[in-house]
Amino acid sequence: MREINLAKFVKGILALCLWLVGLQNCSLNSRQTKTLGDFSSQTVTVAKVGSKELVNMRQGVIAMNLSRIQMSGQQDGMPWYDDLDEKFDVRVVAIRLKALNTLLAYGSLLQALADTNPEKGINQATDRFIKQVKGLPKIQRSINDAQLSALAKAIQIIGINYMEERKKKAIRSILEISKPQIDFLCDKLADEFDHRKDGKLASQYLLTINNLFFTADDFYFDNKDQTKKEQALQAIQLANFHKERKNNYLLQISGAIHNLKKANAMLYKAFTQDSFDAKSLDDLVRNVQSLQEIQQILQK
Amino acid sequence: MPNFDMEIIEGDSDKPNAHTSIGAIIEHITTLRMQTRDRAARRELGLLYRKYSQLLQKKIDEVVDKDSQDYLKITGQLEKANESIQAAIAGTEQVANTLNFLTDAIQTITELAS
Repeated sequence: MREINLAKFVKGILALCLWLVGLQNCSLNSRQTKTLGDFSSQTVTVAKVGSKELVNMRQGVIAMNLSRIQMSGQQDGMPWYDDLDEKFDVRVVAIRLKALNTLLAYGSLLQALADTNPEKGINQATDRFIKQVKGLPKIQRSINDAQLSALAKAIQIIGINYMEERKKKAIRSILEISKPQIDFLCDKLADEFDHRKDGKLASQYLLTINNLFFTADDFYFDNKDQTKKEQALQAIQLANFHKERKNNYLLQISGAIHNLKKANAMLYKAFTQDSFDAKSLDDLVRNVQSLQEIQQILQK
Repeated sequence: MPNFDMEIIEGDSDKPNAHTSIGAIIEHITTLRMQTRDRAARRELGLLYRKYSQLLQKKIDEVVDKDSQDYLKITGQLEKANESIQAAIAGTEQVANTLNFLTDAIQTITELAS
């Protein structure tokens, strides 16, 4: 068996270390961490509130149609008992709920990837590796404990930085592929809550509200009976409740989804226009110092 | 009797751009109708309401169905992106796995050599 040329081995390791640590900006910078956190938390809010409100809109449409039918019976051109939910049928709502949930999963997974810390696993694996190497008979004669510890530290620095760099590259690549899809979903979903966009679910909500106003007004106008007039007033109250939600709450949700699209643009920019910041500089200085110490130990 | 159709389409001069959608026209007709007790005016507004509500419902039927197809397509693509992220999360253990493999290999070779 040939003698292990330790000096050559160490030089190789250090050259690789310097290349990995010195030439690359490995870990996520503070701007990337912040924009990712913002995007992820906004997907949670939008998905939770949006899902809840889609279901509420559907229930509101059913309640308003029931109220209208109780006053007018079957009307030409208006939905009947077999179509109380109108365009809010289960399939249509389920497709949009799935889109919101997929968006939520995307935001959460991206955050989980950014939060993954390979350090613990690498440190444990390095300790095991060094113990095994230390047990080799040729190594025992050519390298002391301090040098082995320095080697372990070098492996850890290389491993962690390599994984951080890979993680960052993975996020960048995912963002490049997914940005148009996220933008598309944000535009579509924001419009679903905006009654000013004809043809979207919020405009179905608007139409049902106005159908109820229309019928209740006729019912009030055509009846002398006090009980029926009260029934009409209750229907108008119900329509007013939903009109308020449509004009205020739903538009806020639409705005929040537009903001999510902006957060996605910021996130994309942070990863595609990578830059050094104070944190990256600190990391780099710390790594270079560690490498210098390692080099000194190994040269003894 | 006022020409409601023209009034509705031209809109209220105090609220510019108030009537840019069919939905806004429908809301305006509803408000006008609830404000008048004149039977002829109510009938006229009723006809207008029917016209615009049918127009809007037709548009809703078209747009919602088309959007559903788009959602299915894009959601499917995003699910694939999510799978890539999961694979990347699993890949963060790569260095540790490689070291563990090397350690096991050294151990096996040492045992075989002794």
